[in-house]
Amino acid sequence: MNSEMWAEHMAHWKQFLIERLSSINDIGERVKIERQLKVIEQVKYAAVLNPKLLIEFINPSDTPSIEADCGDFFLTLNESQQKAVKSALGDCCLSLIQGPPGTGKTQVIAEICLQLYRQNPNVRILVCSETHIAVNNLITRISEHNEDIRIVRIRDKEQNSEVDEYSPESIMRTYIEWLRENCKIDDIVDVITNTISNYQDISLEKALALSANIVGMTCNRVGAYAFYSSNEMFDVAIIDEACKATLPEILMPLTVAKKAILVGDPKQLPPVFCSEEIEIIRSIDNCNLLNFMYIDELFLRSKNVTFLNKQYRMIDQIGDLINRLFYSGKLINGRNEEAEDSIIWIDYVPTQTWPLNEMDIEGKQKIYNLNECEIINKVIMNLDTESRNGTSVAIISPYKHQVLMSRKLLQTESLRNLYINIDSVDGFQGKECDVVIFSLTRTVGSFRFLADERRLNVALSRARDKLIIIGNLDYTVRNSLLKAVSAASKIQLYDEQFSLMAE
Amino acid sequence: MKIKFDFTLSQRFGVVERTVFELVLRGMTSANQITSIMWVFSDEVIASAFQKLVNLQILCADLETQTLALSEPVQALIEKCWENSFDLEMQDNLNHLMLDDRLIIDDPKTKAVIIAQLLPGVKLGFLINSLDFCISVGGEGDE
Repeated sequence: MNSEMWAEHMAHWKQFLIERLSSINDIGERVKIERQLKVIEQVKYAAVLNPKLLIEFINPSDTPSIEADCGDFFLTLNESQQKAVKSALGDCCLSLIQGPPGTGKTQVIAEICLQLYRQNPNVRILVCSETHIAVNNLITRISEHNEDIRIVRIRDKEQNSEVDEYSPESIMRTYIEWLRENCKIDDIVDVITNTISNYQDISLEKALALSANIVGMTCNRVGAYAFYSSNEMFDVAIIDEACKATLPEILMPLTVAKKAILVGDPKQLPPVFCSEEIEIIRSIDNCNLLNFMYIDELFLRSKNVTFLNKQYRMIDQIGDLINRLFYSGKLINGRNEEAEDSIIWIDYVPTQTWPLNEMDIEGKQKIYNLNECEIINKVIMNLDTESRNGTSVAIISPYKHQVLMSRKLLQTESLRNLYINIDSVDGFQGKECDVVIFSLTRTVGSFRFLADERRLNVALSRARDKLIIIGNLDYTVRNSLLKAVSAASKIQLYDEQFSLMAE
Repeated sequence: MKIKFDFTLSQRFGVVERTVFELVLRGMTSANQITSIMWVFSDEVIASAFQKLVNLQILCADLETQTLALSEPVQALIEKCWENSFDLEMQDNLNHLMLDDRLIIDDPKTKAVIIAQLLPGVKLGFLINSLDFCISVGGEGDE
């Protein structure tokens, strides 16, 4: 990107964040925005620990990096995964990995960390993501393969027990227990215990982060610490789900690392702005924050992008659909399992048009569909009868009121075999289930949100074995993408005696 | 009112530096021993803490024996705090700021006055940002 465009884009971000800051009261949100504003200033003046990385990020070089010779791999990797690891460990300070759904991004990141640790047992890797869940998944995976690696997970809000042992609190608890058992001088034990227990700032977290091989935190959290000197610089920052993070969020880890590896998929969901944020963006002259994502542009332009081309999540029929619609035939199936009727489209005749003209307390239309809720209930009952015990089922919809309505109306008490998760499509990115029920919800109106290519890619690629789409065909065939999905599905018409097995 | 002075490291120091300082204060002077007992932090982090404490003249280091000790000014301040008690008119409006009969002083000007009182004629201005003082009620005969 030329420097004028970059400066203008950053100026738009700054203006947006300043206006957003003045419109919110939530302390947590304000802190996040203040950190983002700070990083924009840092980047503006190149006040970062490795300016070379920043330059490569803004203006990627035209020459592809020289791949590293990794020797043996710790994990079982396919060819494209091996290439991604070699490229990431190569001589370029910025490399990108595009990972479509189910292609083993986490496996690749874990291998990169293990390789880096083998090369240098004192290596310091910052593992970041826009969400806590993604960071937790990564840390859990890495810790499965090497017990000697020192890991710290900062601010684990989800209370995921698998990664709790890496929280600063848990690490210090173990250390103090060790001290009590191994140090014979009580005075020394008391001094250390009291000093550590009475810390009131974030210096303990920072000291542990600087002492660990792998530090996991959200991108935003990186902005909480002041990393002053090059001694404190991380050897590598790995940013997972990079395409779902905003530019200021991505910049935070980039300011404190020698080298960065960005992992994401520009074909899946971008960062989502809430309606208040959209309003602010629209009020800024010539502001393109809604339709221009710099990170997508980087994936297009960089010579150091590796495409993970084999997916292991979805059964062939679903994988083929995703490949054809969203990845131009470049994605191959790794499971190589076929089953009949893996994609089912349940058509129905709506009793009225949905959504109703009903507003929520914020004055926005409540988009839900009671016909589809009824069908979901019926489908769940059928699935429970025919599924093996422990089958995971996700019910997803693009619309939050349909999610709320489904949660309210679904009768789960009598279920014997299913684990149900009900969420929005956006909330379910990064997760997977055996069966996914996708409620399209609308029978009238705009396709802009519902059939957005990136949202649809996420919605259709969450299921391992079976995808059930519920939608009124008369309405949906007017959209080319949804029409193509219905053409690849087995169509069933819902009536009151409906059974999933029925034609 | 009889009062005594005491001090701690100021907020510019993090938890690792504070722990190292407390250990040296209690007689653990071997750098290797400190590094080994504080294994939860990396050698680099502990080395940075040593460096900061030495650069700011809180500790001094003997490279040959790989030991640390309190710097002369800090040692002198400790001795003066220990030996001396002072008569001070505490204003009523300060009483409500006292916690457990102690008043924390982090105002640089007041700290400079306290240092000058403890070690008159010695220029220790460089310690002002590194130390926070506290005034505690009670003097000779109270301990």
